[in-house]
Amino acid sequence: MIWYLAAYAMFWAMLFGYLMGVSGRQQRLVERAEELTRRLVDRGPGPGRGPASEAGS
Amino acid sequence: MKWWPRSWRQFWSTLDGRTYHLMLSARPWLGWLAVGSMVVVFALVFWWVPLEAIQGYPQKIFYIHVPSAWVMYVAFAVVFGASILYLWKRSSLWDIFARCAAEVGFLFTTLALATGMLWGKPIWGTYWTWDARLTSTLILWFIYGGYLLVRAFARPGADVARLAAVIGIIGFLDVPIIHLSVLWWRTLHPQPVVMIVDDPGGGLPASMLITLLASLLAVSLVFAWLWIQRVWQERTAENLALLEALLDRRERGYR
Repeated sequence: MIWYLAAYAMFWAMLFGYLMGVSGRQQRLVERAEELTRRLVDRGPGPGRGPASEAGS
Repeated sequence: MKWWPRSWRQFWSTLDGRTYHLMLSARPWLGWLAVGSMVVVFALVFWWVPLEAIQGYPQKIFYIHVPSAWVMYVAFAVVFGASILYLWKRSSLWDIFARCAAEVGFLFTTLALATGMLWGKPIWGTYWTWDARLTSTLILWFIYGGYLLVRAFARPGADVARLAAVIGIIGFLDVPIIHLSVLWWRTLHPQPVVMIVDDPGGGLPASMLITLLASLLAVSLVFAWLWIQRVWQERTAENLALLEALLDRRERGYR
């Protein structure tokens, strides 16, 4: 019975380990997207897109 | 994007995008379906399916070993198909499909080998033997391990994608060898037991067959979900890198 339980425990452990890796990648993607969004917001509207360009600046 | 293309030419040129959209639409519910079916399978294995008369408990490893090996075949078939389409169409989506399927396929190859070893010890008396089925599976593990190393350490670009596609296509040739090895050579690994062509009444009893089929479905769903999740992540990372490059450019004052 020990081999049977060991095999199932290992199967779950490896699947969860991989899932944790996928979840970590997801977290890093979200952080990167947030950082890029902050940069976009800090920059303000680009030329030809907002009031700043209409005012000629 | 229209679902049904007007010509074969349009069909092939838009297949990557349509496949990706189909995958995205399955992403929200596929994970729950995979988890639910795995719970059902483990309930069947632990409480419902009877013990095999000769092997006893170790035989229950069968219900994770065989589906892992099945998903290994499916994953590398995806790598094979997507690599051919990448070399033909040069669309980065095909490359992403192949790369992510290889990664998840490698996980399931490791699982098939490891569960096989834990089954082999109580039944054969050894974790490993240089049997044709085991050796050809280990070769496949090394081929796709090499594929993933190339992808991890080489500078990303069209050259690496092309090289990886060639490895992905050649590596798949090992899959039919693995499958037929138990028929071609005298091996310690058992021959097919699910359906025996010469003996229609033979094969697995109904309860074991039902559990195995449920397990095959559940593990396939887990594979599909993990693969889709990784494809989405890689595509999103690619889009974010593009956005970052544009922002860098604009911040440096280029228009």
